[in-house]
Amino acid sequence: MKNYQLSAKDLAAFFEKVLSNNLRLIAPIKVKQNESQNVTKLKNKAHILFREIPSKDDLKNIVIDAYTDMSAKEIFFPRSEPVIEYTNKKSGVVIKDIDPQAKETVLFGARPCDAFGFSLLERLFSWDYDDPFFLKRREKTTVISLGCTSPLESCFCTSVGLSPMNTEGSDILFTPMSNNNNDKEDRYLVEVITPRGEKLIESIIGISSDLKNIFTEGNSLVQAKAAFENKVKEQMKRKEDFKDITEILKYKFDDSQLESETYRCLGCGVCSMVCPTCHCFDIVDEGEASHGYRMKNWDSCSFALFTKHGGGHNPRDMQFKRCRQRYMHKLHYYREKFADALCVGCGRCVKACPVNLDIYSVVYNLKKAYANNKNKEDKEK
Amino acid sequence: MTTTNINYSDLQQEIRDLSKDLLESKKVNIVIGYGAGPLNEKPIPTFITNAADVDRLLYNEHCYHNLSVYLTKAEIRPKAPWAIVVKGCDARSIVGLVVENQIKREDVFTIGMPCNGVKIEGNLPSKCVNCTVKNPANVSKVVSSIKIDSSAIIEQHPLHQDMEMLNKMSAEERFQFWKNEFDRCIRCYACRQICPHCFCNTCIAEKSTPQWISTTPGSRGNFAWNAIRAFHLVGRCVECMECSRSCPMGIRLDLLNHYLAEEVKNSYNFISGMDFEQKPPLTTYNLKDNQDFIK
Ligand code: SF4
Ligand code: SF4
Ligand code: SF4
Ligand code: SF4
Repeated sequence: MKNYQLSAKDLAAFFEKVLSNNLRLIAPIKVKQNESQNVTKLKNKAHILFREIPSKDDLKNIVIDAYTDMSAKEIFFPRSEPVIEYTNKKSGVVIKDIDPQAKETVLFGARPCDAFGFSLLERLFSWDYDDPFFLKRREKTTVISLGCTSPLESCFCTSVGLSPMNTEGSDILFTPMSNNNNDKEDRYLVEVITPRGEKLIESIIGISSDLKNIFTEGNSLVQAKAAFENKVKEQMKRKEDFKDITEILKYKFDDSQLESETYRCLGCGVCSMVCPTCHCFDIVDEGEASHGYRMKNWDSCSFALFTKHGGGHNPRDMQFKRCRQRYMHKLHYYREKFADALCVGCGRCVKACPVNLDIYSVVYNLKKAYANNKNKEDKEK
Repeated sequence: MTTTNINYSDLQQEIRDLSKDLLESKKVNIVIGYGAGPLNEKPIPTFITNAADVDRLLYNEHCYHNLSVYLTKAEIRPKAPWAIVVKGCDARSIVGLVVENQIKREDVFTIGMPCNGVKIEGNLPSKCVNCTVKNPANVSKVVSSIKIDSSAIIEQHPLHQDMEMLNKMSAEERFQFWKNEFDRCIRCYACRQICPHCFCNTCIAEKSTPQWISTTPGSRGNFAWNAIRAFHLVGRCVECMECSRSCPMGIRLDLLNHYLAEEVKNSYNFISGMDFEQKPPLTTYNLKDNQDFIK
């Protein structure tokens, strides 16, 4: 597929074309709290979230250089949506399917880890049952990811085999680049990765010659990208390889270390809510006896209610057992079934957990203990 | 000695020594304190049951969690008697829990820390600005002999202007203000899980026969959820602001709580968590209560 080069100052022109092509544009913006008039110099908590950019005037709100608090999974798998509508008539109950309302969409600014997360979700939502809500929206969305040039201290994508400029899961990848490695990044390398991405670029630059002029030949940047990618990887603080954790976890189900590592978990579910790959949902009916909707709402295995039986028994009766489930599912069960771990190393749960429970350090500590044990056993032999 | 400077390594050592004594003498089974976390400036709640492990306890200005939430959790409750590290604000929660018969006063040994404000991601939270309990009250032991100079307390609460703003609004505008906030709620219930005073075994939001609050994230259920939670905490909330710290959607729970706390102060002359002898006004009944509103 083709590679282009786009100057950073021309990004807006590209977005304008996306909008004038009647595509829905979604990108990260700052969502403010109701204005705080604090007399102290408290930082007003602004949240960076993926939202629709309805018009040209809103383009200025797009935030390029920050990380979003919530992942972009809600574009395909919203926190709440109706799946059927029911009406109770004299003649009987009428059930109506709901149209997933999949619109042609351009999603800009997902990070490479998020984009890989979409492909993990796709494996699940097209596994034993095709989930039309997820799949139709994914099909109509062109994902333009943004390569990471300054990962956060909580990021660990390389631990799960990804990289800050990883391409899988994206349709197009924009990587900020500079003229040479030491200058400020002022351009993007635009890598077209899938036919869907190609279609978008062609439909955009095909229609106007000014756009043809701003999307110039990009092959020359590809080599520089490899060096740049390595440099950024080097700068990352968290690099422990997660590969063998699956094997270790097989023997850790009843291990007291996993219990003590997760003892402080409060069961709030924030980790699942911010996670690009957590996908559990709850089905509830909303409405009256005469008319209403069946809803699909985000759920979390951290909630006590998640496994509580009708009769009152709860097989995961302690919080650490719920937390253990989250780690086991991500790093053991999912990998056995779908080849990859269900964690892309985005670090959102690490940042959001109110008691600083940290999946990376849990894995790190488990691995360390396992290695120590093994050493001891080997010595005894 | 009155001071505004705190030598944290001294305080930390005192916590360790005291914890060691308490565990060795079997006065407590567990010490709930802070330990080093995997990331800088983010200590973690830490549980020590063995006197040999007390050196895992740490104390510095980043120890912002209100640990008293753990006392009523299924894992920790059976481990009583406990020792727990508290700042003055956290000690108010302990008082609240005792007053509401959730824990026995003799079951908890509170290690009180003098505190000149914590830092959350580098910032001084608003609760610390006008804090009146920098030198903790109602604790089993105050660590160190230092006294924090609290003369710097300013007249106005940092949320005062926000309160004024709310008061100037019409009822409709105020409704819209809160609707805007609550609409963002994703119903993760972090606010409830981290709150020491949300100790119900089954929260009203989890009741299904009948259902009281729609569990679907959306205007209707979100408004009901946040409003009911606020009502349940009126006069009980100690303004530790752990809920607003934890809310991933940045909902202005700080303002909601402060508004209600002010109402309780003005109507009943009551401040929660200050006195082992006083029940929260909305949870008690007295024959002398004013009843002329019943028609
Ligand atoms: S790990 Fe943290 S964010 Fe997740 S449920 Fe437990 S306390 Fe909440
Ligand atoms: S588990 Fe945490 S680090 Fe992994 S993908 Fe989910 S939010 Fe990101
Ligand atoms: S923590 Fe915030 S988002 Fe979560 S349930 Fe409470 S108010 Fe809603
Ligand atoms: S501030 Fe929030 S967490 Fe703290 S007591 Fe009040 S409601 Fe609970």
